[in-house]
Amino acid sequence: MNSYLALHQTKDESVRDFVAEATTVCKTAAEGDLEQRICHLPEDPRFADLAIAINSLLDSTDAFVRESSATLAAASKGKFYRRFIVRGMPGSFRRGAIQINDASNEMAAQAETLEEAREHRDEAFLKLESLVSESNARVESTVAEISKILGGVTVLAINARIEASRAGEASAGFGVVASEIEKMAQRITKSTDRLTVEVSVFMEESKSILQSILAS
Amino acid sequence: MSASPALNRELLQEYRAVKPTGVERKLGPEEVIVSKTDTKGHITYANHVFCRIAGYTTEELMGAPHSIVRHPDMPRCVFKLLWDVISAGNEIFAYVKNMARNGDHYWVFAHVTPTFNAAGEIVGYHSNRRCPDRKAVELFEGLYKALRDIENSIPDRRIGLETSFNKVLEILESKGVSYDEFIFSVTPN
Ligand SMILES: Cc1cc2nc3c(=O)[nH]c(=O)nc-3n(C[C@H](O)[C@H](O)[C@H](O)COP(=O)(O)O)c2cc1C
Repeated sequence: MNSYLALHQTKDESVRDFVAEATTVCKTAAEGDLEQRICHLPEDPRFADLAIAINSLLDSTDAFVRESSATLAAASKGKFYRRFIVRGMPGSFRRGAIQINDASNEMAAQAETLEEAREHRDEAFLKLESLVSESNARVESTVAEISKILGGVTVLAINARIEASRAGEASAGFGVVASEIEKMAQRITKSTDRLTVEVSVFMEESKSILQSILAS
Repeated sequence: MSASPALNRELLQEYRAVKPTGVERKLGPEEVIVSKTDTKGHITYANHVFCRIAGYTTEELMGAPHSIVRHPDMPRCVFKLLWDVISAGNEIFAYVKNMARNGDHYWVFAHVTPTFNAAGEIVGYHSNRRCPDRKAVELFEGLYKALRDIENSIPDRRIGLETSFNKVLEILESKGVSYDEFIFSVTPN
């Protein structure tokens, strides 16, 4: 503090101007404005060295801030080729730069893994979609077959009922059985109809779910 | 903070009279040339490395146009690209051949970025220049010569610039990369 005051009060005008300029530059930098530099180099070589040292410190800091924000901004947009140029970055600045590049490489690797995972998922869903379609087709054909058989059973039951009524009292019980078979066939037909409707609703819903997942 | 306009004028006259010597100066591997300019490219700050390699004092460079270190071998289309990119608020990397006060030359790998104020407006530019990789310098020496030949072979300056600029786009298209990707692909870490 004493030497600082002494410099402020010195009779040497160029030194006084230099101290004033250096003080302003350092204060602004401390407030986060890295734009200012000492633009008037004092003639006294000792002070000139100090001015260059202060400017160099600001240059390194300024460069580090510009480069790191540009590198990270590029990485966040997937432009991983934009590396932090490490050359010319001294000491801690270099270590920071290397760390940023490592992080960016890590992000690139993760982005790739994510892309692979997405491809796997898409493949799996496409398989699932065709599986659902296939099983729907199988259910439909099975239901069609059941309907055909039921048609046959119904005809048989009707014929049996007619034969029973011709045969009279003795085979009345047989007629009851025949009409029960007929009713049962009707009930099975209703159930398979419902099954067809339900399967097609299920099909449509699963298709739209799959599509919404694939589109995401 | 600029030098007197008279000094700037004198410097430009001196610059115009200088011919390239063909002698190369080299930046140290970890040295960085730093400069700042206003929005028109007039120098507002030059670090000691810049002063030393270019052969000027800080005082002299203040207020001088940055083209004070322009080498005649540089194609104009490179500077068009540079200004197009930075005035749009983006950063650019470029290999540049510069000329020192006495006509010697020095190659740099330059990074130019805009400086914004709190309102997000461009208030100036900043440039960091590092020692370039030799292989990259050889590559750009050839590329720039071809572009320069195009520019020199067309009497109409505007059409010459357009033609060489389109040549750059054509080269990038044939490689299927952006300018930035190309620069990074030929720049070792
Ligand atoms: C921050 C900054 C740094 C620049 N650095 C250089 C440089 O090192 N060499 C150069 O020839 N031009 C540089 N330029 C470009 C010059 O402003 C100018 O456009 C170029 O020298 C071409 O000169 P001309 O437009 O008079 O033909 C720089 C521009 C800016 C904004």
